[in-house]
Amino acid sequence: MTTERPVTDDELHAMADGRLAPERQAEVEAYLADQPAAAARAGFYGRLNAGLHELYDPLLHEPVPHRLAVRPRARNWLAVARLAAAVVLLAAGATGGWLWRDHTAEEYEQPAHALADLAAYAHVVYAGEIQHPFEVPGSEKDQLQSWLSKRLRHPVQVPQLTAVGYSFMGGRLLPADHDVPAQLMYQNVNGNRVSLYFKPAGEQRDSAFQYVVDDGVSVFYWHDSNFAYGLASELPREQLLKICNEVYHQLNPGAGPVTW
Amino acid sequence: MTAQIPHLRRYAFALVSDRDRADDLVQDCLERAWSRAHLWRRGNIRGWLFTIMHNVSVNARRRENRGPAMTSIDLPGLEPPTRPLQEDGLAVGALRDAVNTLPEEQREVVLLVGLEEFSYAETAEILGVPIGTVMSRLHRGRERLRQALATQGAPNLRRVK
Repeated sequence: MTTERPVTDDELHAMADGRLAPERQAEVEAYLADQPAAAARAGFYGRLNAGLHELYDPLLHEPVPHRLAVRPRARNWLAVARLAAAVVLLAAGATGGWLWRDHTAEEYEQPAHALADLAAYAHVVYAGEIQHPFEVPGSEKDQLQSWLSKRLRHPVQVPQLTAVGYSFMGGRLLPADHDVPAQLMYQNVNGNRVSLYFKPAGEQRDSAFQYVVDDGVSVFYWHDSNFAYGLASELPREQLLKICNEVYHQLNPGAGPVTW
Repeated sequence: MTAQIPHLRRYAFALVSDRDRADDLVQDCLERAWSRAHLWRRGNIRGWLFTIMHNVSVNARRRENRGPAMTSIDLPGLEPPTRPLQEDGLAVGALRDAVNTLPEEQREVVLLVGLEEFSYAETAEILGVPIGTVMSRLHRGRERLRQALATQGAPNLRRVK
């Protein structure tokens, strides 16, 4: 004998949602067979769920916008940097300490790593820009080279990365605490961006290549006699290393392969 | 956490029916989540994220209610097909309109249960209400949709022979 327990509205919903207690399944089905109005409601609830999926599931397969894909620390940089960008034009020197107030003294004492951090930071700020990823377009490369050479007080050469699939978009000067760094932006056909950040090398003479991943941004960084460089991107290490090799060899013709 | 971003976007878009506002909600949600990650100790991260999403959306709604009325915007790129979904399925255009007219509280429950497939208990936890409240919101929401679609979308609901 089956117990004649009445079927509740909650159970009609549970039926449609696949959450009905297994021992109730047969009873509810038997009830619906006799009750077309209730069966129609349960049927509607099920079709409603399917309709919601059809309507909204396309969003699951869309690429996540850049602003959501970067982690908050990077995004906080972005927010701070955008605010600072306006200020910086007026007071380049004053903002540095404020921007980096979260950094420990220890990090300040590691200029090489600090450079990687700056390169990653500059990459996050500008690689995400649709409209303004650079200040001077790649079409004015000669003017850009002479402008940057003047401002950085060393001859600047813009590497061409077409051999590894990246075209030069343009470049810009950036404010920093005591330096005037520059950033060159490159992009491949898939829209992946790589930026080369560099500034006068100062006292650093260690030219070993180093690699760090910071908040999803990979950076190779090294020095030569004129500049300290950081090559930043969201690419995996192997791909970035290939690009790094190309950059290094254009800047240092005749040098051996980059090993890391 | 990043694996949940597409789900958060889907839910937020279904909730507010506007891409930019939806992504703003997701961004707020993620920022809070990252900044509070140390507070998250147990349970499933998905439920936790949707709890934050609920709080963020309630706050956003509160702000909007003080400001100018928001109008629903038609979106390029997510144009609903006009055909019925399946032989006796729902026309998605009519469904979207009907979902947008639901009171927010009912819409949340209909979406958390029907789209995100949370259990009733999880939904209650996300919204911070008793499970009985979840069931009654679910029932009222779905019945409202059923009636809206039965009257306005009658041709779309008929079986196509």
